[in-house]
Amino acid sequence: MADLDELEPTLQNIIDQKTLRWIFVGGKGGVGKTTTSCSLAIQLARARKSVLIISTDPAHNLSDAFGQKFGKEARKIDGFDNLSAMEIDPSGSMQELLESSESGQGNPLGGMMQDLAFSIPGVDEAMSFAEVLKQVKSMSYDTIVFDTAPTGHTLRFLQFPTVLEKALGKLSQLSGRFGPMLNGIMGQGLGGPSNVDEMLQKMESMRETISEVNTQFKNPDMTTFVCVCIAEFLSLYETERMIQELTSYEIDTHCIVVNQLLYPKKGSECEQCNARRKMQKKYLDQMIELYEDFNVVKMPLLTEEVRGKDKLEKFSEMLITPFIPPDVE
Amino acid sequence: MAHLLITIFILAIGWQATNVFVSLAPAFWRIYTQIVPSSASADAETLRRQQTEILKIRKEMATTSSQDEFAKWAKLRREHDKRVAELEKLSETVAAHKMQFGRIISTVRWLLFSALGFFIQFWYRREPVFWLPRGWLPDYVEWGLCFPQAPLGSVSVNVWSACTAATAGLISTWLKPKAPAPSRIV
Repeated sequence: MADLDELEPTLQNIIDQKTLRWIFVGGKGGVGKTTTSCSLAIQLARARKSVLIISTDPAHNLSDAFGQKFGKEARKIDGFDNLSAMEIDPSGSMQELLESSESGQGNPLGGMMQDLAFSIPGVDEAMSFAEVLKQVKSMSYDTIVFDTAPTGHTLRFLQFPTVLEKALGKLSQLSGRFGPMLNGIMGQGLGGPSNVDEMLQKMESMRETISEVNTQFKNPDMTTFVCVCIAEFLSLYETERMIQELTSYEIDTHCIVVNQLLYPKKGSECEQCNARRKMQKKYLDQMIELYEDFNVVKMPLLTEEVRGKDKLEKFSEMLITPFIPPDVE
Repeated sequence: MAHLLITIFILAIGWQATNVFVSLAPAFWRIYTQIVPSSASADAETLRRQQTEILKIRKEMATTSSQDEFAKWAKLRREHDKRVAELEKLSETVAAHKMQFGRIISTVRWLLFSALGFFIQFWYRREPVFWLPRGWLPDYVEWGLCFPQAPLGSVSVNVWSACTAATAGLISTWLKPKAPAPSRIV
Protein backbone atom coordinates (compact mmCIF):
# COMPACT_ATOMS: atom_id res chain seq x y z
CA MET A 1 0.00 0.00 0.00
CA ALA A 2 1.10 3.54 -0.69
CA ASP A 3 0.92 4.52 2.94
CA LEU A 4 3.27 7.41 2.48
CA ASP A 5 0.99 9.21 0.06
CA GLU A 6 -2.04 9.05 2.29
CA LEU A 7 -3.19 12.18 4.04
CA GLU A 8 -3.48 12.13 7.80
CA PRO A 9 -6.43 9.93 8.74
CA THR A 10 -7.84 12.47 11.20
CA LEU A 11 -10.08 15.51 11.29
CA GLN A 12 -7.35 17.53 12.97
CA ASN A 13 -7.12 19.71 9.85
CA ILE A 14 -10.68 20.91 10.41
CA ILE A 15 -9.94 21.80 14.02
CA ASP A 16 -6.82 23.64 12.94
CA GLN A 17 -8.50 25.60 10.16
CA LYS A 18 -9.73 28.46 12.30
CA THR A 19 -11.39 30.33 9.44
CA LEU A 20 -14.00 27.59 8.98
CA ARG A 21 -17.45 28.84 9.85
CA TRP A 22 -19.78 26.29 8.31
CA ILE A 23 -19.17 22.57 8.57
CA PHE A 24 -21.66 20.20 7.01
CA VAL A 25 -21.82 16.57 7.95
CA GLY A 26 -23.72 14.43 5.52
CA GLY A 27 -24.28 10.97 4.20
CA LYS A 28 -26.95 8.33 3.80
CA GLY A 29 -29.21 7.44 6.70
CA GLY A 30 -27.88 5.19 9.42
CA VAL A 31 -24.19 5.62 8.80
CA GLY A 32 -23.60 7.64 11.95
CA LYS A 33 -23.95 11.20 10.79
CA THR A 34 -25.30 12.43 14.08
CA THR A 35 -22.65 10.67 16.12
CA THR A 36 -19.94 12.05 13.88
CA SER A 37 -21.28 15.58 13.85
CA CYS A 38 -21.73 15.60 17.62
CA SER A 39 -18.22 14.26 18.13
CA LEU A 40 -16.81 16.81 15.73
CA ALA A 41 -18.68 19.58 17.53
CA ILE A 42 -17.30 18.40 20.86
CA GLN A 43 -13.77 18.46 19.51
CA LEU A 44 -14.32 21.85 17.95
CA ALA A 45 -15.67 23.23 21.20
CA ARG A 46 -12.30 22.54 22.79
CA ALA A 47 -10.54 24.73 20.24
CA ARG A 48 -13.09 27.47 19.57
CA LYS A 49 -14.88 30.05 21.63
CA SER A 50 -18.37 28.86 20.79
CA VAL A 51 -19.84 26.15 18.62
CA LEU A 52 -23.39 25.53 17.51
CA ILE A 53 -24.69 22.25 16.19
CA ILE A 54 -27.84 22.32 14.09
CA SER A 55 -29.84 19.32 13.04
CA THR A 56 -32.02 19.71 9.99
CA ASP A 57 -33.13 16.13 10.22
CA PRO A 58 -36.86 15.88 10.96
CA ALA A 59 -36.10 12.71 12.93
CA HIS A 60 -34.13 14.84 15.40
CA ASN A 61 -31.38 12.65 16.66
CA LEU A 62 -29.55 15.33 18.59
CA SER A 63 -31.94 14.99 21.48
CA ASP A 64 -31.30 11.26 21.50
CA ALA A 65 -27.56 11.59 21.23
CA PHE A 66 -27.22 13.98 24.16
CA GLY A 67 -30.22 12.78 26.10
CA GLN A 68 -31.58 16.28 26.30
CA LYS A 69 -34.49 17.99 24.60
CA PHE A 70 -33.61 20.61 22.01
CA GLY A 71 -35.92 22.89 20.10
CA LYS A 72 -36.03 25.66 17.58
CA GLU A 73 -34.02 27.92 19.86
CA ALA A 74 -30.32 27.32 20.41
CA ARG A 75 -29.72 25.84 23.86
CA LYS A 76 -26.54 25.02 25.75
CA ILE A 77 -25.77 21.34 25.99
CA ASP A 78 -25.47 20.10 29.57
CA GLY A 79 -21.87 19.75 30.61
CA PHE A 80 -20.46 22.12 28.01
CA ASP A 81 -20.24 25.86 28.37
CA ASN A 82 -19.49 26.75 24.75
CA LEU A 83 -21.46 24.15 22.84
CA SER A 84 -25.09 24.71 21.92
CA ALA A 85 -27.55 22.76 19.84
CA MET A 86 -30.78 23.39 17.99
CA GLU A 87 -33.15 21.28 15.97
CA ILE A 88 -35.10 22.74 13.11
CA ASP A 89 -37.64 21.36 10.75
CA PRO A 90 -36.63 22.57 7.32
CA SER A 91 -40.15 22.46 5.97
CA GLY A 92 -41.61 24.22 8.99
CA SER A 93 -40.78 27.82 8.45
CA MET A 94 -42.13 27.94 4.92
CA GLN A 95 -45.31 26.44 6.26
CA GLU A 96 -45.55 29.31 8.68
CA LEU A 97 -44.91 31.81 5.95
CA LEU A 98 -47.64 30.27 3.85
CA GLU A 99 -50.07 30.15 6.70
CA SER A 100 -49.43 33.73 7.62
CA SER A 101 -50.01 34.80 4.06
CA GLU A 102 -53.20 32.81 3.85
CA SER A 103 -54.68 34.51 6.84
CA GLY A 104 -55.80 37.43 4.67
CA GLN A 105 -58.67 35.85 2.80
CA GLY A 106 -58.48 36.11 -0.96
CA ASN A 107 -55.08 37.70 -0.74
CA PRO A 108 -53.65 37.31 -4.24
CA LEU A 109 -50.09 37.38 -2.97
CA GLY A 110 -50.74 34.48 -0.64
CA GLY A 111 -51.77 32.40 -3.60
CA MET A 112 -48.67 33.51 -5.42
CA MET A 113 -46.44 32.38 -2.60
CA GLN A 114 -48.13 29.03 -2.68
CA ASP A 115 -47.61 28.75 -6.40
CA LEU A 116 -43.98 29.63 -5.94
CA ALA A 117 -43.57 27.04 -3.24
CA PHE A 118 -44.89 24.32 -5.50
CA SER A 119 -43.49 25.42 -8.83
CA ILE A 120 -39.80 24.96 -8.06
CA PRO A 121 -39.03 21.71 -6.26
CA GLY A 122 -37.14 22.32 -3.07
CA VAL A 123 -37.71 26.03 -3.08
CA ASP A 124 -39.71 25.87 0.11
CA GLU A 125 -36.92 24.02 1.85
CA ALA A 126 -34.35 26.37 0.43
CA MET A 127 -36.23 29.43 1.58
CA SER A 128 -36.81 28.13 5.04
CA PHE A 129 -33.20 27.11 5.19
CA ALA A 130 -32.24 30.62 4.23
CA GLU A 131 -34.47 31.86 7.00
CA VAL A 132 -32.66 29.67 9.51
CA LEU A 133 -29.30 30.80 8.22
CA LYS A 134 -30.33 34.38 8.66
CA GLN A 135 -31.15 33.66 12.29
CA VAL A 136 -27.89 31.84 12.82
CA LYS A 137 -25.85 34.54 11.20
CA SER A 138 -27.09 37.08 13.65
CA MET A 139 -25.90 34.86 16.51
CA SER A 140 -22.23 35.01 17.38
CA TYR A 141 -20.97 31.47 17.02
CA ASP A 142 -17.47 30.80 15.80
CA THR A 143 -18.36 27.62 14.03
CA ILE A 144 -21.63 26.02 13.06
CA VAL A 145 -21.86 22.30 12.48
CA PHE A 146 -24.76 21.05 10.40
CA ASP A 147 -26.09 17.59 10.93
CA THR A 148 -27.92 17.33 7.62
CA ALA A 149 -30.95 15.23 6.84
CA PRO A 150 -30.26 11.81 5.29
CA THR A 151 -31.55 13.02 1.96
CA GLY A 152 -28.64 15.39 2.12
CA HIS A 153 -30.52 17.86 0.06
CA THR A 154 -30.17 20.71 2.42
CA LEU A 155 -27.69 21.84 -0.15
CA ARG A 156 -30.02 21.32 -3.03
CA PHE A 157 -30.79 24.98 -3.28
CA LEU A 158 -27.21 25.58 -4.26
CA GLN A 159 -28.24 24.06 -7.52
CA PHE A 160 -30.50 26.91 -8.45
CA PRO A 161 -29.29 29.92 -6.53
CA THR A 162 -29.10 32.02 -9.64
CA VAL A 163 -32.60 31.08 -10.71
CA LEU A 164 -33.97 31.83 -7.29
CA GLU A 165 -32.03 35.03 -7.03
CA LYS A 166 -33.24 36.16 -10.41
CA ALA A 167 -36.84 35.34 -9.64
CA LEU A 168 -36.74 37.09 -6.30
CA GLY A 169 -34.84 40.01 -7.80
CA LYS A 170 -37.51 40.43 -10.42
CA LEU A 171 -40.22 40.24 -7.81
CA SER A 172 -38.70 42.95 -5.71
CA GLN A 173 -38.18 45.05 -8.80
CA LEU A 174 -41.82 44.66 -9.68
CA SER A 175 -42.82 45.54 -6.19
CA GLY A 176 -40.85 48.74 -6.50
CA ARG A 177 -42.95 49.69 -9.48
CA PHE A 178 -46.33 48.32 -8.65
CA GLY A 179 -46.07 48.03 -4.90
CA PRO A 180 -47.80 51.31 -4.21
CA MET A 181 -50.54 50.42 -6.65
CA LEU A 182 -51.00 46.97 -5.20
CA ASN A 183 -51.12 48.44 -1.78
CA GLY A 184 -53.68 50.92 -2.96
CA ILE A 185 -55.90 48.24 -4.37
CA MET A 186 -55.53 45.66 -1.69
CA GLY A 187 -55.07 47.98 1.18
CA GLN A 188 -58.65 49.06 0.80
CA GLY A 189 -59.99 45.57 0.48
CA LEU A 190 -58.01 44.07 3.32
CA GLY A 191 -57.52 47.00 5.58
CA GLY A 192 -53.89 46.04 6.01
CA PRO A 193 -51.71 48.02 3.63
CA SER A 194 -48.51 46.70 5.21
CA ASN A 195 -49.29 43.20 3.98
CA VAL A 196 -47.73 43.41 0.55
CA ASP A 197 -44.73 45.40 1.65
CA GLU A 198 -44.03 43.04 4.45
CA MET A 199 -44.12 40.03 2.17
CA LEU A 200 -41.84 41.59 -0.37
CA GLN A 201 -39.45 42.81 2.22
CA LYS A 202 -39.26 39.31 3.58
CA MET A 203 -38.47 37.92 0.14
CA GLU A 204 -35.89 40.58 -0.56
CA SER A 205 -34.04 39.93 2.66
CA MET A 206 -34.21 36.23 1.92
CA ARG A 207 -32.64 36.83 -1.44
CA GLU A 208 -29.83 38.76 0.15
CA THR A 209 -29.25 36.00 2.65
CA ILE A 210 -29.19 33.34 -0.02
CA SER A 211 -26.69 35.15 -2.17
CA GLU A 212 -24.47 36.00 0.76
CA VAL A 213 -24.58 32.48 2.15
CA ASN A 214 -23.85 31.16 -1.31
CA THR A 215 -20.62 33.05 -1.60
CA GLN A 216 -19.65 31.89 1.86
CA PHE A 217 -20.45 28.27 1.10
CA LYS A 218 -18.35 28.33 -2.03
CA ASN A 219 -15.38 29.63 -0.14
CA PRO A 220 -13.23 26.68 0.98
CA ASP A 221 -11.78 28.80 3.77
CA MET A 222 -15.18 29.16 5.37
CA THR A 223 -17.07 26.02 4.50
CA THR A 224 -16.32 22.37 4.24
CA PHE A 225 -18.35 19.22 3.92
CA VAL A 226 -17.52 16.08 5.87
CA CYS A 227 -18.80 12.94 4.18
CA VAL A 228 -19.79 10.09 6.45
CA CYS A 229 -20.13 6.58 5.12
CA ILE A 230 -19.69 2.95 5.99
CA ALA A 231 -17.48 0.50 4.14
CA GLU A 232 -20.21 -0.96 2.00
CA PHE A 233 -20.90 -0.75 -1.67
CA LEU A 234 -24.05 1.36 -1.67
CA SER A 235 -22.75 3.76 0.91
CA LEU A 236 -19.55 4.15 -1.04
CA TYR A 237 -21.47 4.65 -4.23
CA GLU A 238 -23.63 7.35 -2.70
CA THR A 239 -20.59 9.03 -1.22
CA GLU A 240 -18.90 9.17 -4.57
CA ARG A 241 -22.00 10.68 -6.10
CA MET A 242 -22.31 13.18 -3.29
CA ILE A 243 -18.70 14.23 -3.66
CA GLN A 244 -19.15 14.76 -7.38
CA GLU A 245 -22.30 16.74 -6.73
CA LEU A 246 -20.58 18.90 -4.14
CA THR A 247 -17.74 19.52 -6.54
CA SER A 248 -20.22 20.69 -9.12
CA TYR A 249 -21.62 23.15 -6.57
CA GLU A 250 -18.04 24.25 -5.86
CA ILE A 251 -18.32 23.24 -2.23
CA ASP A 252 -15.10 22.12 -0.64
CA THR A 253 -14.90 18.60 0.69
CA HIS A 254 -11.73 16.88 1.76
CA CYS A 255 -12.71 14.63 4.67
CA ILE A 256 -14.40 11.28 4.73
CA VAL A 257 -15.33 9.46 7.92
CA VAL A 258 -15.73 5.73 7.53
CA ASN A 259 -17.86 4.48 10.39
CA GLN A 260 -18.73 1.14 11.88
CA LEU A 261 -15.55 -0.66 10.94
CA LEU A 262 -15.19 -4.10 12.44
CA TYR A 263 -11.92 -5.20 13.94
CA PRO A 264 -12.44 -8.71 15.25
CA LYS A 265 -9.78 -9.90 17.68
CA LYS A 266 -7.10 -12.22 16.46
CA GLY A 267 -8.29 -15.78 16.32
CA SER A 268 -11.88 -14.72 16.64
CA GLU A 269 -14.31 -17.52 15.97
CA CYS A 270 -17.08 -15.15 14.89
CA GLU A 271 -17.77 -16.18 11.32
CA GLN A 272 -19.88 -13.13 10.49
CA CYS A 273 -17.36 -10.72 11.93
CA ASN A 274 -14.49 -12.16 9.94
CA ALA A 275 -16.46 -12.21 6.73
CA ARG A 276 -17.60 -8.67 7.27
CA ARG A 277 -14.12 -7.52 8.15
CA LYS A 278 -12.90 -8.96 4.87
CA MET A 279 -15.57 -7.15 2.91
CA GLN A 280 -15.01 -3.87 4.72
CA LYS A 281 -11.29 -4.14 4.12
CA LYS A 282 -11.91 -4.53 0.42
CA TYR A 283 -13.96 -1.34 0.22
CA LEU A 284 -11.63 0.51 2.55
CA ASP A 285 -8.69 -0.27 0.31
CA GLN A 286 -10.68 0.92 -2.67
CA MET A 287 -11.54 4.12 -0.88
CA ILE A 288 -7.98 4.86 0.07
CA GLU A 289 -7.01 4.34 -3.52
CA LEU A 290 -9.80 6.50 -4.88
CA TYR A 291 -9.71 9.31 -2.36
CA GLU A 292 -6.00 9.82 -2.11
CA ASP A 293 -6.44 13.57 -1.69
CA PHE A 294 -8.92 13.18 1.15
CA ASN A 295 -8.48 12.68 4.87
CA VAL A 296 -10.07 9.30 5.33
CA VAL A 297 -10.87 8.75 9.00
CA LYS A 298 -11.49 5.19 10.13
CA MET A 299 -13.86 4.73 13.05
CA PRO A 300 -14.45 1.37 14.69
CA LEU A 301 -17.82 -0.14 15.48
CA LEU A 302 -18.24 -0.15 19.22
CA THR A 303 -20.00 -2.72 21.30
CA GLU A 304 -22.27 -0.08 22.75
CA GLU A 305 -24.42 2.72 21.46
CA VAL A 306 -22.62 6.04 21.42
CA ARG A 307 -24.98 8.14 23.50
CA GLY A 308 -24.54 10.71 26.16
CA LYS A 309 -21.79 13.21 26.81
CA ASP A 310 -19.13 10.85 28.12
CA LYS A 311 -19.39 8.27 25.41
CA LEU A 312 -19.50 10.90 22.70
CA GLU A 313 -16.41 12.57 24.13
CA LYS A 314 -14.59 9.28 24.17
CA PHE A 315 -15.71 8.53 20.64
CA SER A 316 -14.72 11.98 19.47
CA GLU A 317 -11.12 11.37 20.51
CA MET A 318 -10.86 8.89 17.69
CA LEU A 319 -11.62 11.58 15.13
CA ILE A 320 -8.39 13.27 16.16
CA THR A 321 -6.04 10.48 17.18
CA PRO A 322 -6.49 7.61 14.76
CA PHE A 323 -7.90 4.47 16.26
CA ILE A 324 -5.33 1.70 16.33
CA PRO A 325 -7.06 -1.62 16.19
CA PRO A 326 -5.82 -4.10 18.77
CA ASP A 327 -4.02 -6.98 17.08
CA VAL A 328 -6.18 -7.48 14.06
CA GLU A 329 -6.30 -10.59 12.02
CA MET B 1 -31.78 33.51 -78.93
CA ALA B 2 -30.81 29.95 -78.30
CA HIS B 3 -28.49 30.78 -75.40
CA LEU B 4 -31.35 32.27 -73.37
CA LEU B 5 -33.51 29.25 -73.98
CA ILE B 6 -30.84 26.83 -72.83
CA THR B 7 -29.50 28.90 -69.94
CA ILE B 8 -32.92 29.32 -68.39
CA PHE B 9 -33.68 25.66 -68.78
CA ILE B 10 -30.37 24.73 -67.17
CA LEU B 11 -31.09 27.06 -64.28
CA ALA B 12 -34.47 25.45 -63.67
CA ILE B 13 -32.99 21.96 -63.78
CA GLY B 14 -30.10 23.05 -61.58
CA TRP B 15 -32.43 24.44 -58.94
CA GLN B 16 -34.26 21.16 -58.71
CA ALA B 17 -31.09 19.08 -58.86
CA THR B 18 -29.48 20.99 -56.00
CA ASN B 19 -32.54 20.35 -53.90
CA VAL B 20 -30.84 17.06 -53.19
CA PHE B 21 -27.79 18.90 -51.87
CA VAL B 22 -29.83 20.76 -49.31
CA SER B 23 -31.40 17.62 -47.96
CA LEU B 24 -28.00 15.97 -47.95
CA ALA B 25 -26.34 18.89 -46.17
CA PRO B 26 -25.39 16.76 -43.13
CA ALA B 27 -23.47 14.37 -45.35
CA PHE B 28 -21.77 17.25 -47.08
CA TRP B 29 -21.01 18.72 -43.71
CA ARG B 30 -19.09 15.59 -42.86
CA ILE B 31 -17.14 15.69 -46.08
CA TYR B 32 -16.57 19.41 -45.72
CA THR B 33 -15.16 19.09 -42.21
CA GLN B 34 -12.83 16.34 -43.36
CA ILE B 35 -11.53 18.24 -46.35
CA VAL B 36 -11.48 21.91 -45.38
CA PRO B 37 -9.39 22.78 -42.34
CA SER B 38 -11.14 25.31 -40.08
CA SER B 39 -12.11 25.78 -36.45
CA ALA B 40 -15.42 24.13 -37.22
CA SER B 41 -13.79 21.08 -38.70
CA ALA B 42 -11.42 20.88 -35.75
CA ASP B 43 -14.40 20.97 -33.39
CA ALA B 44 -16.19 18.31 -35.39
CA GLU B 45 -13.09 16.18 -35.30
CA THR B 46 -12.77 16.54 -31.52
CA LEU B 47 -16.44 15.72 -31.19
CA ARG B 48 -16.02 12.51 -33.12
CA ARG B 49 -12.95 11.56 -31.12
CA GLN B 50 -14.74 12.40 -27.88
CA GLN B 51 -17.65 10.19 -28.85
CA THR B 52 -15.40 7.24 -29.56
CA GLU B 53 -13.58 7.84 -26.31
CA ILE B 54 -16.82 7.90 -24.32
CA LEU B 55 -17.97 4.68 -25.93
CA LYS B 56 -14.65 3.12 -25.04
CA ILE B 57 -14.97 4.24 -21.42
CA ARG B 58 -18.52 2.90 -21.28
CA LYS B 59 -17.32 -0.43 -22.52
CA GLU B 60 -14.56 -0.48 -19.96
CA MET B 61 -17.01 0.47 -17.23
CA ALA B 62 -19.25 -2.39 -18.23
CA THR B 63 -16.40 -4.83 -17.88
CA THR B 64 -15.23 -3.41 -14.55
CA SER B 65 -16.97 -4.73 -11.49
CA SER B 66 -18.07 -1.75 -9.45
CA GLN B 67 -18.08 -3.92 -6.35
CA ASP B 68 -14.67 -5.50 -6.64
CA GLU B 69 -12.80 -2.60 -8.19
CA PHE B 70 -14.73 0.40 -6.97
CA ALA B 71 -11.80 2.79 -7.19
CA LYS B 72 -11.15 1.96 -10.82
CA TRP B 73 -14.82 2.03 -11.65
CA ALA B 74 -15.40 5.38 -9.93
CA LYS B 75 -12.43 6.90 -11.69
CA LEU B 76 -13.80 5.69 -15.01
CA ARG B 77 -17.12 7.17 -14.15
CA ARG B 78 -15.63 10.52 -13.24
CA GLU B 79 -13.79 10.50 -16.54
CA HIS B 80 -16.99 9.53 -18.33
CA ASP B 81 -19.07 12.25 -16.70
CA LYS B 82 -16.42 14.83 -17.39
CA ARG B 83 -16.22 13.87 -21.01
CA VAL B 84 -19.98 13.78 -21.43
CA ALA B 85 -20.21 17.30 -20.05
CA GLU B 86 -17.50 18.43 -22.45
CA LEU B 87 -19.21 16.64 -25.29
CA GLU B 88 -22.48 18.42 -24.63
CA LYS B 89 -20.79 21.77 -24.71
CA LEU B 90 -18.89 20.91 -27.84
CA SER B 91 -21.86 19.49 -29.67
CA GLU B 92 -23.67 22.75 -29.14
CA THR B 93 -20.98 24.72 -30.94
CA VAL B 94 -20.75 22.09 -33.64
CA ALA B 95 -24.50 22.21 -34.15
CA ALA B 96 -24.28 25.96 -34.56
CA HIS B 97 -21.54 25.51 -37.15
CA LYS B 98 -23.60 22.90 -38.89
CA MET B 99 -26.61 25.16 -39.10
CA GLN B 100 -24.48 27.93 -40.49
CA PHE B 101 -23.08 25.53 -43.06
CA GLY B 102 -26.61 24.55 -44.08
CA ARG B 103 -27.53 28.19 -44.41
CA ILE B 104 -24.49 28.87 -46.59
CA ILE B 105 -25.39 25.99 -48.89
CA SER B 106 -28.92 27.29 -49.29
CA THR B 107 -27.69 30.83 -49.90
CA VAL B 108 -25.17 29.76 -52.51
CA ARG B 109 -27.80 27.66 -54.22
CA TRP B 110 -30.22 30.54 -54.22
CA LEU B 111 -27.63 32.94 -55.62
CA LEU B 112 -26.52 30.50 -58.30
CA PHE B 113 -29.94 29.62 -59.59
CA SER B 114 -32.80 31.75 -58.32
CA ALA B 115 -31.06 35.09 -58.15
CA LEU B 116 -29.39 34.58 -61.49
CA GLY B 117 -32.74 33.58 -62.93
CA PHE B 118 -34.38 36.72 -61.64
CA PHE B 119 -31.58 38.80 -63.03
CA ILE B 120 -31.90 37.22 -66.47
CA GLN B 121 -35.64 37.71 -66.38
CA PHE B 122 -35.13 41.36 -65.63
CA TRP B 123 -32.24 42.04 -68.00
CA TYR B 124 -33.69 40.27 -71.02
CA ARG B 125 -37.31 41.19 -70.35
CA ARG B 126 -37.58 42.80 -73.83
CA GLU B 127 -35.81 39.94 -75.64
CA PRO B 128 -37.70 37.14 -77.26
CA VAL B 129 -36.56 33.65 -76.33
CA PHE B 130 -37.91 32.28 -79.60
CA TRP B 131 -40.53 33.27 -82.15
CA LEU B 132 -43.78 31.46 -82.62
CA PRO B 133 -44.77 30.65 -86.19
CA ARG B 134 -47.13 33.39 -87.30
CA GLY B 135 -50.80 32.57 -87.06
CA TRP B 136 -50.49 29.41 -84.95
CA LEU B 137 -52.10 30.83 -81.89
CA PRO B 138 -54.81 33.42 -81.44
CA ASP B 139 -53.74 36.95 -80.56
CA TYR B 140 -54.69 36.86 -76.94
CA VAL B 141 -52.60 33.76 -76.33
CA GLU B 142 -49.68 35.36 -78.09
CA TRP B 143 -50.15 38.39 -75.94
CA GLY B 144 -50.00 36.20 -72.85
CA LEU B 145 -46.90 34.38 -74.01
CA CYS B 146 -44.93 37.54 -74.61
CA PHE B 147 -45.87 38.94 -71.23
CA PRO B 148 -44.73 41.37 -69.95
CA GLN B 149 -42.47 43.22 -72.38
CA ALA B 150 -41.23 40.93 -75.15
CA PRO B 151 -42.37 41.71 -78.70
CA LEU B 152 -45.72 40.26 -79.72
CA GLY B 153 -45.46 36.89 -81.39
CA SER B 154 -42.54 35.69 -79.31
CA VAL B 155 -42.19 33.83 -76.00
CA SER B 156 -40.88 36.07 -73.22
CA VAL B 157 -38.08 35.18 -70.81
CA ASN B 158 -40.51 35.25 -67.90
CA VAL B 159 -42.96 32.84 -69.45
CA TRP B 160 -40.18 30.53 -70.54
CA SER B 161 -38.73 30.58 -66.99
CA ALA B 162 -42.08 29.66 -65.52
CA CYS B 163 -42.50 26.81 -68.00
CA THR B 164 -39.06 25.36 -67.44
CA ALA B 165 -39.43 25.62 -63.64
CA ALA B 166 -42.73 23.73 -63.78
CA THR B 167 -41.24 21.08 -66.08
CA ALA B 168 -38.15 20.62 -63.94
CA GLY B 169 -40.38 20.31 -60.88
CA LEU B 170 -42.46 17.64 -62.58
CA ILE B 171 -39.37 15.70 -63.68
CA SER B 172 -37.90 15.80 -60.20
CA THR B 173 -41.10 14.41 -58.69
CA TRP B 174 -41.04 11.55 -61.19
CA LEU B 175 -37.39 10.81 -60.49
CA LYS B 176 -37.69 11.02 -56.75
CA PRO B 177 -37.77 7.56 -55.16
CA LYS B 178 -41.29 6.92 -54.07
CA ALA B 179 -41.80 6.63 -50.36
CA PRO B 180 -43.28 3.26 -49.49
CA ALA B 181 -46.98 3.48 -48.87
CA PRO B 182 -47.69 3.51 -45.15
CA SER B 183 -48.61 0.03 -44.17
CA ARG B 184 -51.97 -0.21 -42.58
CA ILE B 185 -52.07 -1.25 -38.99
CA VAL B 186 -54.14 -4.38 -38.82
